[in-house]
Amino acid sequence: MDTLLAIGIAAFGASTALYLASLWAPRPGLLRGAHGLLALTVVLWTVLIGSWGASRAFGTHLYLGFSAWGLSLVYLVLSRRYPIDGLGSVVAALATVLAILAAVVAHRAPTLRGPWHDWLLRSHIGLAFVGIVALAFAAAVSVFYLAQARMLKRKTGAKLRRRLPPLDVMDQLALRGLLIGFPFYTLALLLGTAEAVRLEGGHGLKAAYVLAAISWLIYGVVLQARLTAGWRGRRAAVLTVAGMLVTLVVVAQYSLGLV
Amino acid sequence: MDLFVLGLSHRTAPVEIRERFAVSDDAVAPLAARVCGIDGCGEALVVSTCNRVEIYAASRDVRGLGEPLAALLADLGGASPATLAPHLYRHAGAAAVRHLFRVAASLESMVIGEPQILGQLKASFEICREAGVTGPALQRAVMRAFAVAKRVRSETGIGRSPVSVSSVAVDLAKQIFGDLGRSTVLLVGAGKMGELAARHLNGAGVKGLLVANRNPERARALAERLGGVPRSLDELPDLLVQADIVITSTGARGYLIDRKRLKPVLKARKYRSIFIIDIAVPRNVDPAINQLDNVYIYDVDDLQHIAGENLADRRREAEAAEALVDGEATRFVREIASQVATPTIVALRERAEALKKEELAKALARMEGLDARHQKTVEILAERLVNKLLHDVLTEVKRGATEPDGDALLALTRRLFRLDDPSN
Repeated sequence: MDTLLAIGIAAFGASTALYLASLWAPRPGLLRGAHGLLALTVVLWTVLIGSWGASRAFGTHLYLGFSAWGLSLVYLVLSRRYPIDGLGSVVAALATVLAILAAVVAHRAPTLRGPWHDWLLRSHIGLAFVGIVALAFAAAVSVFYLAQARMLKRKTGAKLRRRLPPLDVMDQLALRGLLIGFPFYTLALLLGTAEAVRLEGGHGLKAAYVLAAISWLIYGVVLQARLTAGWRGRRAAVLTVAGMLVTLVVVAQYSLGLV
Repeated sequence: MDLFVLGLSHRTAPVEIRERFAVSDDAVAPLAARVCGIDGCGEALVVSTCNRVEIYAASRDVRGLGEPLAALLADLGGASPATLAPHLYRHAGAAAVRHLFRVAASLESMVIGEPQILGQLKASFEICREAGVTGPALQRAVMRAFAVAKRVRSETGIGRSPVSVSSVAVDLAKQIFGDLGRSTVLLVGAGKMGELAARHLNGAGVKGLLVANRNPERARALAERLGGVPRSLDELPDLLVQADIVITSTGARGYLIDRKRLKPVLKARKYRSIFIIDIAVPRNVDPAINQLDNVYIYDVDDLQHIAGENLADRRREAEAAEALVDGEATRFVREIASQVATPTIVALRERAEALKKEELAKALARMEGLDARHQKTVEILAERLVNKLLHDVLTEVKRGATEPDGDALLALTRRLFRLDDPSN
């Protein structure tokens, strides 16, 4: 494995450990250290992604790396405005998983079957990953929302509750993640459909296509219900997480070349 | 200058005694001035809160300060020193510094970790500083006490968890809504605890407060006291749509809010979260509504249970704070002692240097024809002799100055080396 990539993964892992430690023992120094390390990791991944781009090493690993990088960057920016310090551990853990996936697929056979100069394919994957980063953030926040709501209902976990962001803040952040991610994801699926039709002539309905459509439908329902029927809280959070689980299955299928 | 403290607190004196000896803000400076009038006492600080009255004094010799200070305090309360004596505690030197740090860090408070004591200490210090009765010794100690208190608050969880029922309610509301500036509170009923909780939430900066009661007069009076808007209890369904935090504290038998009544309210609220604090006994809210999404209900037992857990948590955190305060107090006392030793050390070095130069000049004058290399050898010999002789002495003086009999050691050093002899 490339040394820089290994350091990048280790840095995400160390950030996760620091965030978890700051949840366990809330010392300002620990949290500052975690934020600082994650910021350094983002810089490191900027160099890494840049080097992949420069060597034209395009592939799924680039998008996975970009997702980890984008998720961390979005979190760092938002944490300056919202009281979401408690979300650091899940964001960093998610970024670590994405970075490990990037490392796994980096040296596999190219998973993109179309030529790289194919703008349709390039746009499809690019838009999909931007959308997925935002939707993954919404899902991560929703997981914490569900945990916080459960503890408040059961009147347990007083210490941990105080270290997590307030319910309403998480609900709003999840909505924003959906609002940003859904249009990108929709466009990506439209371009993906066009690409599939172009390559395969519309014959054969693969499981990945169906799952992608299901995930899109779930996000659509949540967003529609949130914006029109005033859905919020637990139900919206559960569906957002469900949508992400389906999306991750689709991403895994593509990343591992199982499509 | 050594520190001395004499005082009484909730740990040593019942409230009847404490109230008798309490010192008002206006009386702090005059009392401190009287303390400074005691022979040998250079600086004074008087701290008076509802739970403690303490007089801090700085003096070259604190051994004789106890009795005059006790007499002064007894005189203040119009009691005899003998009556007051069983309730007094006194600490001198390092123990006084440690006590000051513990007070500032809220380790001596009735509710460990309460933040008010630091503000009270700051206010007392400011009064005494403006009156010109504090000097460098007290200022250094008090400033360090503030810094230690800040460290304790930021590095331990001693003040993190609320320990009163009302502040637990505010804390829970913040865990649900975050910024309370967008939340409206509805107080249903006129119970004392409900009023207290509403007052706390109001103090936390909520957007608005609605006060509903069966009796319009009582609603108006309560709303006026709390700075809220009086409403009729008949409007309850509408009020529940508007409010984010509901405090129920009525004497009603049976539930005012149950699942059936709340369901349409939730729909009208577009399922915004609602936090219900049911302080009434018997309860005003059906506990089964906790099963509804986005509804969070806490009764008085829940709040008291959390407050109790938080208090236990504070006690655990206090152990870490104790260690931190002890370490800081020891370090501070050492710093001060080493500063005290500095003039002696400097004088000793100067004396040795002067002797070395004098003897070197005499010796070199006798050794005519000595080339530069040999002259240098002699100079190095003198230098090394002085350094080796002084090394053990200076190490012992630095170490010994921080011991209880440090003053005696410094005096002996000055005497042995004739450092105070003007002919040197």
